[in-house]
Amino acid sequence: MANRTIIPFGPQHPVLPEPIHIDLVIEDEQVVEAIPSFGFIHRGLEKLAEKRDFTEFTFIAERICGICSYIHGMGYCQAIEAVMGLQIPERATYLRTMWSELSRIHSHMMWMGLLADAFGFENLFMACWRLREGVLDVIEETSGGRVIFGAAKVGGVRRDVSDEVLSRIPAQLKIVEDQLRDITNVFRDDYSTRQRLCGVGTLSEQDAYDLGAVGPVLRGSGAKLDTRMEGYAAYDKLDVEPIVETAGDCWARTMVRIREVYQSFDLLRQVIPMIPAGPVDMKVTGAPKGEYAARLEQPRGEVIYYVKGNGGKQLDRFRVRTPTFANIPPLLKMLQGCQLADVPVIVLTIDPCISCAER
Amino acid sequence: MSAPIQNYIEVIPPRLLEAVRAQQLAGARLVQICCTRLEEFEILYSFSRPGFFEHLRIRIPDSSVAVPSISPIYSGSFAYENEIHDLFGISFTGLNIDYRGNFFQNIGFCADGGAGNENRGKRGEIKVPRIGSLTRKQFQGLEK
Amino acid sequence: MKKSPFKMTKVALENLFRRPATVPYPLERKPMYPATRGHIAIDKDKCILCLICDKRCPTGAIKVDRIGKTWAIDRLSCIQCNYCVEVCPKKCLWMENLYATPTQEKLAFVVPIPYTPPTPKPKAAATPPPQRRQPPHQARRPDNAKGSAIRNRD
Repeated sequence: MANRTIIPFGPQHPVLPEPIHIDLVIEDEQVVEAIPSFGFIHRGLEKLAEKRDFTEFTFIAERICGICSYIHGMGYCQAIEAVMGLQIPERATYLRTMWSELSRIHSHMMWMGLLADAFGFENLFMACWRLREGVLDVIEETSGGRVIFGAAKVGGVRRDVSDEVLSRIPAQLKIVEDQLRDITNVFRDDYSTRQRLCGVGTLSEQDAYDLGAVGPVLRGSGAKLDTRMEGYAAYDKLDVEPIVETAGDCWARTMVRIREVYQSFDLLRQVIPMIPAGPVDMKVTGAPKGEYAARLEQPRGEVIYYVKGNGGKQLDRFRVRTPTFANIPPLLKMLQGCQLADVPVIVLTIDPCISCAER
Repeated sequence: MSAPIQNYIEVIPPRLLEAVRAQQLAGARLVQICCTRLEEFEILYSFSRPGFFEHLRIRIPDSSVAVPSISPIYSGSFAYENEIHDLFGISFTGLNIDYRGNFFQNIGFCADGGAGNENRGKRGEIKVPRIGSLTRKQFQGLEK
Repeated sequence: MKKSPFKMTKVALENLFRRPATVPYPLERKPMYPATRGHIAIDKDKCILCLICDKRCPTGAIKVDRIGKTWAIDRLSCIQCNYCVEVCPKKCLWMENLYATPTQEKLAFVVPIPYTPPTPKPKAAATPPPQRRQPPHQARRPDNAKGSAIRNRD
């Protein structure tokens, strides 16, 4: 038996934007076991929901994560609305759909850059982030913020978007989409990216399903599951088809995300002309009483917001199960048997958002 | 496809594993485990399969009652169960990966003021000593 | 699907001959969108010191002092959520689309408010003055002043 060594990976590591610690047990260069530990940035946000007014908590829910911020706020509002039995105006549901697709694009483009950075492709990293600015501009023009949209509200959305701005969006996104093709070609066909990604960190479909993987990790392994198919917000009126790759390795997960970006562009082209006129919010009276678990599809996967209200202004319990948390057990499975040098890439391909996971 | 109907099913703790196994046979996947602190503790196990979104709920009077872990059935459940142990101080028996209070490393955040850590020695079900639970000294000893 | 080591060449060459994607910041500034949430501004003549923005601000960045007649905001605590603008009954707050200027110190931005609460007209002669009712917000003054100074939100 070869010598076993334990290598601590993180919490400070060049590829990790956020702190997670993994103890890697290695034999020679091969990882035999990985044990993560959490809690470096546990902020107690779930507990905070029990102290704040439920409408005010929307602002905190939006700040659970800095990248998928809008969907966090929207999911929280959706859970509260379901508990209170509110039927929000139709224009609001369409605007929510539009913003969540925009946030998916910008999150995936950021992730593509980070992945390129993880395997040392600095030029590609810069190119991805330069293009992402085009999407952030659209977000800023519609919602007012670059990454924190500040547009979620219980009972609708916080701000309306004028038709003139809406009509400009498809053209602006078209420019980004055209330029993005060059970059995604690099991910798909370049020699060095294929060398680094193909066959690394393989996860079978059965393992992914059993271990509770969500989002691109699950779809990259071949399972056809996408929470958007449930048709929350205005997704029931759109043509959403889950994007599936069967290889289950890092390259498959990358391809799922890249194809999802194009799917989001497509969904935006569908949804923007469909936005009906009308009010964007409604008056909310009373307080939530009852419980509900809302499910949404974040860029990183399925997210659960469980809300339990007791009829008062403060909630009894607010629980968010973020996709990264669900993807930790599959990550450990992927790391078993990989080379030490591939660990950063594998950790990056689950798109870890540790602040989300620890709340 | 419309949103599946949510069912909340009350289960008594001794029958939990049976109910979870039934979910697994039905082809469901574990979505989350959530603990709620009211006068008693409520633990909610959510399972999803096409068209269904079901929640099994068990109630335990206080955190001294150990709950059977569902990790022999759903091996990915260890993350949720270790989290509940660290944040609410509830012990789980039969965990496949037991961090013994070290999953969330900031032990000061333990909801029970660190009582969960005192339980560490008492729990006999731990199968393999995990590195995450070792002290710094033991850790250095392993490396030599 | 062909593997090729030259896939990046096109992007790299374009990069080489393109204008920089960034702007030389202090000399040139990116244009702001009308919707951009920059900072909160106040029309001091319209404000009636009603304290609603103070109470609703989720981070407690706005402090309104009724006795000293000031409206103050801590720009570094403000999260630009626009909530105060929505709840203001007199519509005297609005969101400017320029970001707040950088500072080295955490100082609250204080605006003196010229508002004088209207005194109710004394009733026609007859009644003796000693039990004259004060206007409601003056009567509540001590409580509110205390509340806004050491307000513990939780």
